[in-house]
Amino acid sequence: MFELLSFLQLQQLWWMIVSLLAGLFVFLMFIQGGQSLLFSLPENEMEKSMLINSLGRKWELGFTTLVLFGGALFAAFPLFYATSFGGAYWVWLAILFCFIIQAVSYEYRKKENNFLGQKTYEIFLYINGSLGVILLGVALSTLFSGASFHLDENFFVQWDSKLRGLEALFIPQNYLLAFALFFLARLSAGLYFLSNINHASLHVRIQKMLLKNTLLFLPFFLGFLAWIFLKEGFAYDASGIVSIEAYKYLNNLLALPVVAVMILLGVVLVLVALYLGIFKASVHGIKVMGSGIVLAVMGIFLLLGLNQTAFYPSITALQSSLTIENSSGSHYTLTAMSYVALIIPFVLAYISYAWYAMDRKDIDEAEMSDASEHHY
Amino acid sequence: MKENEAILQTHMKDFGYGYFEKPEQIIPPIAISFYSFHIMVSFGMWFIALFALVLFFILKRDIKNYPLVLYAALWSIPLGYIAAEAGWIVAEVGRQPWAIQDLMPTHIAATHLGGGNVALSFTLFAILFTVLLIAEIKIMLRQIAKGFEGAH
Repeated sequence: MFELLSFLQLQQLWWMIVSLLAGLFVFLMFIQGGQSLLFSLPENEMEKSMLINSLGRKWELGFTTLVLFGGALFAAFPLFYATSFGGAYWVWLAILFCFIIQAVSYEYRKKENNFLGQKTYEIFLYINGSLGVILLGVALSTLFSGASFHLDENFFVQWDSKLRGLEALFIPQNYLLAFALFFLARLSAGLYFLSNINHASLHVRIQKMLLKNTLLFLPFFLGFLAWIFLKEGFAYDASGIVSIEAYKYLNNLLALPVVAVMILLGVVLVLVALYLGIFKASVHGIKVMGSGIVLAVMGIFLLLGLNQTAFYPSITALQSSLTIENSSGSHYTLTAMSYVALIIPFVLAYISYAWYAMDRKDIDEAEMSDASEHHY
Repeated sequence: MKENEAILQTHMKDFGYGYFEKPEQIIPPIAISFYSFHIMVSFGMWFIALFALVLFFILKRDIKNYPLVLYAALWSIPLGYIAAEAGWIVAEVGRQPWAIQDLMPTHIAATHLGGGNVALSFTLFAILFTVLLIAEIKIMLRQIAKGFEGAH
């Protein structure tokens, strides 16, 4: 079946899969968003415990999706892996450290004799939810702003900045996506909490938080859209020569109407979800939000890699820029991976089942006080 | 050009050997691979025997009356970790000098990253994981001290 597809079709298929996973991951970043609210949203220990337990049921889904997204991206486009991970070394390592401290904090926080104390693990969760998201946003934004590398004749990466990826922190435009993601994650967290924590006064504060963070999210998100649609992009022709093209991403949007509709619909759904949360305290906001985020993020990723666009541009050596065509695995590899990817729908079905099984009962104060229940 | 491509295709399977000067360079460190492999297999055998023994004492006897078996099980806990680490050593040292067998040696595959960067990241990993290990051990010891009664 897949072996009948052309090499280019397989590369496009895999870029679509990667884009879908990126969308799912950004949606699941509500876990990080929730962690960033631990010191501002709850008014007492009980409320904080409810938030952490609500997130604790789901954090592994976010972590696994991050690994799945990174794994798919790196396996399908190994030259991107070789270039970015080895090259932008410190930014990836910083992100890794932000995620190592998340993994243990849920488990250790409330355990007796935990060495660093409950507060430290909560600070770890906060660092993961704020710095982790912002660094990831900056790293992803370099897919638009470009990075400083060149590839030698053996395709080995030479990084052209001594800061090894951290130089991306000095490009102001990268913070548009970084903070848009940060506030978006907090917004989805608010909607998520509304859906599975049963606590009236917390709901009122969540609604206020949603309003405030919507006002903070919109300028960064609109700024990001304005930046990418007005900036020049990195195009390549049939022979693989990369060149700068004015309004490249806007041109892509117009050339791919299906993607344009996806992004528009995604943004509308996000706004509807925020309306449901802010004004109705609706338990369904998170589902609408999730659909909106997946559509919008997937659409933005498609603009980045399809229609003859270099998805990882080099600003120091234009011809070293990576495209889905020059960075992918072989026809054989992508074919084999496509067969393996057929199990993705089953994995997604399992995740949905696990999600609903965990959410069958709302979190409330009684459950938090029940010693027979598992608590984070 | 065509001719060169044909030569390359013929020898592609041995491509990586071009990176070496002498035949000795393609021999992995023998002793460490040898002993790691034997440690891994010996512990594996020991675990099979131990599990059989424990199964026997659970099914046919009251295992609580045989402290030697219980202690053997207890003191075997670290062996599992040692066996796993030895296995990694076999895999990673035994594969040297290849990142991809016959195609790419590890010294070519490695990122061009200054020694200072590697040393710094190694130190950061070592500090973070040591702190987390201390936390893990302290939590475990407390839970063990509390025993089954204290668990929820």
